[in-house]
Formats: sequence, structure tokens, C-alpha cells
Amino acid sequence: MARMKFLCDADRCIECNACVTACKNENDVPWGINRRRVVTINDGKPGERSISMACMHCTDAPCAAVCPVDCFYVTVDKVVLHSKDLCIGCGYCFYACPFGAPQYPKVGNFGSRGKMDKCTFCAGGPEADLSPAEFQKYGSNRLAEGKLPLCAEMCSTKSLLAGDGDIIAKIYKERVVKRGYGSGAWGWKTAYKETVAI
Amino acid sequence: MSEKKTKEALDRRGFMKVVSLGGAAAAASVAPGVITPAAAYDPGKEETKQRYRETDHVKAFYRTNGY
Amino acid sequence: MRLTRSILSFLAMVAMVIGLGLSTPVAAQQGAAINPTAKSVTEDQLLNALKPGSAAEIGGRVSIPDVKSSTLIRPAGREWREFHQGTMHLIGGIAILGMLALLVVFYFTRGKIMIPGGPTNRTITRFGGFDRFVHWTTAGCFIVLALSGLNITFGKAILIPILGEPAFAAAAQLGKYAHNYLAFPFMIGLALMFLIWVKDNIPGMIDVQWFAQGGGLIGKGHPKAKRFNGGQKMVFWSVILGGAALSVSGWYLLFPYTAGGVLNLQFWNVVHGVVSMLLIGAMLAHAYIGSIGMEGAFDAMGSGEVDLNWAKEHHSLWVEDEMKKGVVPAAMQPAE
Ligand code: HEM
Ligand code: HEM
Ligand code: SF4
Ligand code: SF4
Repeated sequence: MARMKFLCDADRCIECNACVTACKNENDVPWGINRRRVVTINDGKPGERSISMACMHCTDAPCAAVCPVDCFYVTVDKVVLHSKDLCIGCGYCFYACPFGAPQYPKVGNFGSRGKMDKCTFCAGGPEADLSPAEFQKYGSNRLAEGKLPLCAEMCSTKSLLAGDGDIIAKIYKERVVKRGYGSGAWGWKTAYKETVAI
Repeated sequence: MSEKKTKEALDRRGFMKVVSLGGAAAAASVAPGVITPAAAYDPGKEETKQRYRETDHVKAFYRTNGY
Repeated sequence: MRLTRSILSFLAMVAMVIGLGLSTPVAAQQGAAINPTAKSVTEDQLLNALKPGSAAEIGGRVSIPDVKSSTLIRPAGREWREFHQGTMHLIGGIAILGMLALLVVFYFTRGKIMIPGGPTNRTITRFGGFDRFVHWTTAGCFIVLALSGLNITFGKAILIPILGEPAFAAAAQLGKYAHNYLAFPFMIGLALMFLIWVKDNIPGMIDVQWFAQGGGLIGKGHPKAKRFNGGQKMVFWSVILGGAALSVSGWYLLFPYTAGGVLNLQFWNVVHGVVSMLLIGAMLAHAYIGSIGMEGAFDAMGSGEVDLNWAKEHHSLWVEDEMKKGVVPAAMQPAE
């Protein structure tokens, strides 16, 4: 069974933020929330790299383990989703997440942060697939439409890969072999406890 | 209020406090015996069912990304 | 000049391509001069360089305004999760269930502690209205805070099977609001408690003697004590110090953006969770001995009037002081 993953080929990412924009638009993400962002490491120094990061849909996801109301569920595609109806906005998933993926609509106001929002791998939420209620809470459900997350599909340099983990790892390996270098599958160790061996 | 019970309790608590201070300082390094598993919320088969399919659209993505 | 350089690099590239064709390792060596990743950051290198502490994050720069999002990977999240879901449950389970078990054993072996010589029908004022108001404000808030807090820690394991997901989530939401709002009266109560009782809670030699005599439980005769005995002073100081730790850590959890980063929030959560478990355990013992565990004790915080024999037994020096001050024990019924 296909296991969904993201892989950002940092040697291709040019920090254009198209993925960030695509995500915001496709999912009608609330103001102040970015489900995906591009982080530049060693900015301005030799060897700088940019990596596009969102929820990695971890194996044995920490966010799901700590949630006090157990509102997470993992689909057959291994996409980590949650129910906004159950979330109490406690912030624990944000403490546990190694990638800073969970976001909250209310900033700085005391106690309640509102319902947590994060990347859904463009796979919606617990409501019926492609229903207006699902779109309103979680955004689009492209997997149900037979598509992949828009961030990856929109990537201007084809740096961001999404889809079946084995297939995208293979694509990445081929690239590395062809061009002779590659700085690795960022976050895979932390998220999936494995890495792309080349 | 004043009795030994309190005292016994406090001794034990004192002990726990020492443990916890060590624990807090090295929170990370404590190897816990029981870790609750991730994700239990199961809204039913419908929600967790497979959605990903290798459609032509998806295949085109894989193909073009191989370049 | 430019031309020669570009020719050179073109040649190098050709060499690399040929190298590639021969074998990849050679390409890596030959291509070193133009390998764009030769000096690039690698994740392994960054992960290995991480030191535990407040900077255990791999971060960079983001061009969106949300600076928090500039952290790329924070592996500590997994460790916090292990602590929170493992060790913290263990500490809470031991502190609370262990204490309950101890109290049950104690109740059935030692029984209710009775007033030696029985009640006298003569009472002395132990706590005035304000003292009792402060105690019950603080204690009432504490109980709700403890229950709503424990719900965060253990609720999903215990209550979801009973209530089901949606009802539990609604209850947890309510509990969270209760926890957030009652934190403030609790903190005020704690401060007042400190102010009104600290003068009688300075530890001294008399407390050492009190403990040496086993608080009156081991051996015969009750040790001397002033207004608060050694055990009570320990209760007082655990409440004050533990309560202060809960207030500070809870404050950061309430106002997460003042804590200075998620790693600090993880730390404060650990402090909050561990201290609250220990304090809940201690307060169980306190509530036991202040109610069903000892005859006459509850009156001190109930009506405020305690039996004279009880007072003489547990707080002999305090009774003497009060008598010297001219406080006359009131008769509950007309004296014979
Ligand atoms: C004094 C002021 C206090 C403040 C400001 C405070 C605040 C908080 C906050 C914000 C949380 C995070 C969970 C949530 O958002 O619902 C929390 C959790 C918790 N609190 Fe408090 N709290 C306070 C006092 C107490 C007291 C007195 C107790 C118990 C004796 C307590 C026990 C707990 C427990 C057990 C948790 C859950 C810990 C965990 O599982 O991570 N708190 N508190
Ligand atoms: C339902 C539970 C409780 C009962 C029945 C209870 C009962 C009492 C009684 C009878 C006293 C007076 C003892 C004396 O005569 O000196 C007392 C004192 C005190 N209580 Fe409580 N209490 C309860 C909960 C709490 C809680 C939750 C706190 C902490 C937040 C607390 C903090 C204190 C302190 C600091 C004192 C003074 C020191 C001492 O006597 O140990 N109490 N309580
Ligand atoms: S990246 Fe964060 S939010 Fe996404 S599954 Fe992993 S822990 Fe959960
Ligand atoms: S913020 Fe919501 S999703 Fe995250 S741990 Fe808390 S209740 Fe669960």
C-alpha cells in the first residue's frame, strides 16, 4: 500500500514560495496561518539551502500521541489528519511536532488558541469527501480527486515531491545519481526514522 | 491535620521531588516504560479509507518530476 | 580572462560528465571543484551539532512574517512526547494512586485519630472567617484545577471509553476553560494564604522535636506545637512553593508567546505536570487528615471553632499563648 510522503530536493529549491502560495489558495487557509513555509539555512553563506517544510505525516506521529482529546487519525494512505470538532486548542501537538506544523488561528490571546490547523496532504478531514463542510474546515481533498498536494504539483523547479514514498524516493535517487550530488531527504530521519540511501 | 500521615506522605513526596527534578532537567533522557501509542481517534472506515490512486494525473506528476 | 575561466569550467564539466560515465565515485572526486553541494549544509551535520538545551532546533530564515515558522526541525518534540506520555503518567499514577492506597491502608490500620480523653464541649477559635475564606477559595480552585488538569493528562485513556469522543471533547473544552479562568483566583488565594499564615510557619527547633517524636503517632504522648506543627508547616511550604511553581509554569502555558519558544514551553509543561502530580498526592493526604482521618480536625476549617482538648493535644503551645492573651474558650453548652 502506498505510503504518502513529502520530499524536498533542497538542491533545487529556489525559495520562490510558490508552494506556500499554492497551499494557501487551494485550501483557503485562514489569515495568519501558513501550512507550508520555506526555510533557508545558512542564509547568505556559501552552501545555503532552502527547504520547503510542512507537516511530514510522520510515522507514529508525536502530535497524535500527545493530543489530550485524541482527535487525530491516520488514513490508509498514512496521512495524519485531525478533527477540528474535537480539538480544544491546547497547543500540545505544537509542542510535540518536530516540524512546527500545527498552527492556530488566534495569536497570543490567553488559553484558547482556537482550532488547530495543519497540512492535510490535501486530503481534507473527517467530513464526507469533497463536501463544503470539509472544504470550509480543512480545505481541498485532492487525493480523493485522484491528484496530489498542490504545493508539489505547482513547484516551479520540481523540487518538492509528494506522493507514494517509494516512488518519490526513487525519483530523488535518480536525480542524485544523474547530477552527482544531493543534500539528502530533509526531515525523513525525524519523521519516518529512515532516510534515502544513495 | 497534624499527624504522621502527613509526614509519611511528605517523605515520599520529597523523594518524588528529587526524582522529578532530575527528570525535569533530563526530561529528554528519561526512558519511559509506557508510552501511549499515537493516534487512536478512529472516525470509522469511511474517513480513513484509501484515497490515493495512481491516476493518469498522478503518473504525469511522477513522470515529469523524473526529468 | 573571463573567457579562459569559462573554457576551463567547461572542460571541468566535460571531465565530470566523462567521469560520470565511467563511475560515480570518480565523478564525485573530480567534480569536487564544481560540486555545488561541497560546502552545502547537510541535515546530518546540523542534527549532530544540536546540543540539548534552549537551542536544540535547526532553523533558518523565512520570508513570511511569522518568525516562529523559521524553525525547520525540532527533534526535541519526540522526547517531550515520550516524557509526557510515559514518565509523566508514571509519576502521576504513583503519586496519586500510591497516595490513595497508602491512605486506605492507614485508615484500616490506624483508624480515625480520636481526641484523647474525648471532646470537652468547650471550644476555642482557631481560624477566623477570613482565614477560612482564603483556605476554601484556594482549596476549591485547586480541586477544580487538579481535576481539569488530570483530565488533560489521563482523560483520554480513562474517559473516552466511557463518554465517547464528542462528549469527552466537549467536557475537555469546558475543563480547559475552567482551568484557565480558575488559575487566577487560585493565584490570589495562594498569595493571601502566604501573607496570613507565613508568620506561624517559620520552621524552628520545635519542629525538629515534633518530627523526632513521630508527630505523635509513633510512641506515646503528643509533641508540643505552636499554631502549626511540623507536618503542617511542610504542607504549608509545599502548597506555597508548589503553588508558585504551578503559577509560573502555568502562566507560560496560558500565554505561550511569552515563553520564548517551544522548547521553553516543553520545559514549563514538564514542570507544571510533575509539580501538579506531586502536589495533588500531598493534598490528598492533607484532605484526608483534615476530614475523615482525624476527629475534630475539620472544625478548624469548618466552623473555625475547635474543641479545647483537640487543640491542647495538637497545638499545646498555641493554646497556652491564646490563654495568655486572654482568649477564653467558649462553652458550647451552658457550663455546668
Ligand atoms: C496557578 C495557576 C495555573 C495555571 C495558570 C495553569 C495553567 C495550565 C495550562 C495552560 C495548562 C495546559 C493545558 C490546557 O491548556 O488546558 C495546564 C495543564 C495542567 N495543569 Fe495547570 N494551571 C495552574 C494551576 C494548576 C494546579 C493548581 C494544578 C493541580 C494541582 C494544575 C494541574 C495541571 C495539570 C495536571 C495539567 C496537565 C498537564 C499535562 O498533562 O501536560 N494546574 N495548566
Ligand atoms: C477538601 C479538601 C480539604 C480539606 C478537608 C482541608 C481541611 C483543612 C483543615 C481542617 C485545615 C486546618 C488544620 C488546622 O487546624 O490547622 C487546613 C489547613 C490548611 N489547608 Fe486545607 N483542606 C483541604 C484542601 C486544601 C487544599 C487543596 C489546599 C491547597 C491548595 C489546602 C491548603 C491548606 C493549608 C496551606 C493549610 C494550613 C496548613 C495546615 O494546616 O496544614 N487545603 N485544611
Ligand atoms: S509533522 Fe508534526 S503535525 Fe505532521 S504528523 Fe508529524 S508531528 Fe504531526
Ligand atoms: S491543539 Fe487540538 S489537535 Fe492539538 S493536541 Fe490540542 S486538542 Fe489535539
